[in-house]
Amino acid sequence: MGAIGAGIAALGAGIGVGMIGAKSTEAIARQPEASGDIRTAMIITAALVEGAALFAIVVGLIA
Amino acid sequence: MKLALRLLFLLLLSTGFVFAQEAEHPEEEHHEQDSSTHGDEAAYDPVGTVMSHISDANEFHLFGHYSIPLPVILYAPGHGFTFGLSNMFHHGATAVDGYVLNHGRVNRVADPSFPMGHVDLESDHAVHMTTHEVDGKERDLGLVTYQGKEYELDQPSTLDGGLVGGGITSFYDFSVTKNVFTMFLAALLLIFVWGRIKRSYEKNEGKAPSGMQSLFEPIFVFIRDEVTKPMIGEEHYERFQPFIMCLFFFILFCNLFGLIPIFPGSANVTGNIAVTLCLALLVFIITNINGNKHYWGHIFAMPGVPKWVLVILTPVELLGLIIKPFSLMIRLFANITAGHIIILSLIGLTFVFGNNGTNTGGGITGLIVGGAFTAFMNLIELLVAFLQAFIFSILAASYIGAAVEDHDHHDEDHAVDHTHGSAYAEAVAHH
Amino acid sequence: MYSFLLADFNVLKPDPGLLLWTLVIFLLVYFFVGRAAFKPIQKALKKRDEEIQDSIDEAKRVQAQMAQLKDDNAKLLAEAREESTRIIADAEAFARKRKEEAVTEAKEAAQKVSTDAQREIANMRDSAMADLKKEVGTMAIDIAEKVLQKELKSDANQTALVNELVKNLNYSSRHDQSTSSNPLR
Repeated sequence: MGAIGAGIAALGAGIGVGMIGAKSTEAIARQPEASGDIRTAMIITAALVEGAALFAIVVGLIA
Repeated sequence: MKLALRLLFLLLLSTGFVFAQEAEHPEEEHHEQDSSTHGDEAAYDPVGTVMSHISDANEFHLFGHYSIPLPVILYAPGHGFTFGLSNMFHHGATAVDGYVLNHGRVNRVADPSFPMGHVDLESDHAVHMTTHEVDGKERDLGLVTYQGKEYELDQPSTLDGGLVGGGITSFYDFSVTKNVFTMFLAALLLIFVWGRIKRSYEKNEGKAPSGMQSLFEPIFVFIRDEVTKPMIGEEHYERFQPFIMCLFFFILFCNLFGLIPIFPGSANVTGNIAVTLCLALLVFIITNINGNKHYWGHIFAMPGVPKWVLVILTPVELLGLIIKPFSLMIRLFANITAGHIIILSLIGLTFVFGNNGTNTGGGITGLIVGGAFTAFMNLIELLVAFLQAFIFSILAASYIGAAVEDHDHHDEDHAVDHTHGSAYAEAVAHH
Repeated sequence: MYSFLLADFNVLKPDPGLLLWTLVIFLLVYFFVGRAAFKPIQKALKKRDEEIQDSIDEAKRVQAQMAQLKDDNAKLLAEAREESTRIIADAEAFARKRKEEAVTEAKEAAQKVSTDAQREIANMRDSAMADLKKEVGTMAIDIAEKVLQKELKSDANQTALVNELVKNLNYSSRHDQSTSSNPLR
């Protein structure tokens, strides 16, 4: 069960990180001069999404 | 050409799986038979191997039967301290004051009838593992056989309060373990490197940087310009910059040491929750002792919010106070541990496919496939080592920045505040 | 397949010893790297940044100053040129004026000299006339005296004397004519 939970968490995080990447790439394409700020925000958000997924994986490992 | 290479790779992969399929059944049986005896000659246990590789140990295993002994400092309430080097346990063949070495980790015989002092256990396999049921869950239990009698072993005390299977036991382990040793190495390397860089700054004052200085200066300037300055703010950043820099470089060096598979590295330092807990705790303390009036005002009485909402909001904000460092702790721990588990599992494929040395073809396939993936994963881990150090320091900086930020014109333009870097990161971090 | 044993996953269990050692080592790093190295490096970097900024500012300032100086020089040069032109023009004008003045003065002086001379001549002629008149008068009186004396003695002698006197008179008047520019008739 834990493995299934971890899998679902990874799925969600994958979608999340993918959306972050897509949107930030779009944003950089639209405003290349703001690419530095966008990249920082992207990394932070990606880390937070990943953090949520890792929470789930840890819980999955425990359960 | 490329296509042919791809096909070959696919073929190798599929043969690996064929071998694996073939190998699985006898392995399973074998495992079930030997599940209670985790001796050296027992069947390959992938989970156990991975877990023992990522966990802390009281001796530094080099190769084969060679390991570097590390100082042992043990404390048992009612008995007092026990000092020594970990080689006094003879890899589990000797008990000292009721302490034995169980898979590289010191355990203690809780039973007071067990003799004190150096006791020869008369067998290399006197310490062994078994399982028992606790609250319907299967838990490991260490046992030591001495003069025909079996004694239960206590693991070192942990601070999780039984939440993840640990808890306070009959003794505390304050030893210089593998992780502590590696942390010391990282700290000494940091002191050496930055000491030299500092001297060259003094020597080259008013000149262009040279040597190691020019290697580390861009990183230093990057952290200053991308982390501390925008997150903490122009007027306060100088106060917290040494702390944030220390966090970044300490985590980075520990992460990189963890990626080295041989002696000076190989310890899963930042993948141990005690280490990340300590760092997150420091961030929590520094954030809250530097919190200004507005910071606390925001937590206990968010301005511009109706009274009845505060009933819900204040507990959430208070919870957020804990969740922020808690997420720091879990993020770093989980990232590094997950990376190590993946690499160890990929290497473990060699032994799983090789079926304990009986299937050479499977073993070689596993080695090639696992090795290729390991090389790839190692590169990802290298990225993660930098990224997690960066994320940890940027989030720590943003928490500190939120605590020390001046809100002089707060009620008028709350929206404008959120364009500010730290306020943004804080808002995101509330997730 | 494999039973996952929670007790093995001990990285998730915070060990107080490891916690304590991490604290000790991190504080060690903080005091020996953060305090001892990062702070001075931070200061050195800041100082260097400021120095670089200062040098750039200084360079810009100097450049502006140079441009200003160049402008000033050009202006000064232009002014000097203008001044010199003006001075030359002035000098030329002055010289011309002086020349004209000198010419006028000379003319005036010449005029004056000629008038003076004319007046002198007139004066001299007048005085000469007066002198002549006086001389003629005296001579006439002398002649008359001599005639009168001779007449008293003889007629022949008298006539010879008159002739001689007339001859003398003619001579002296001819002599007078050659000495004065404006002889009397």
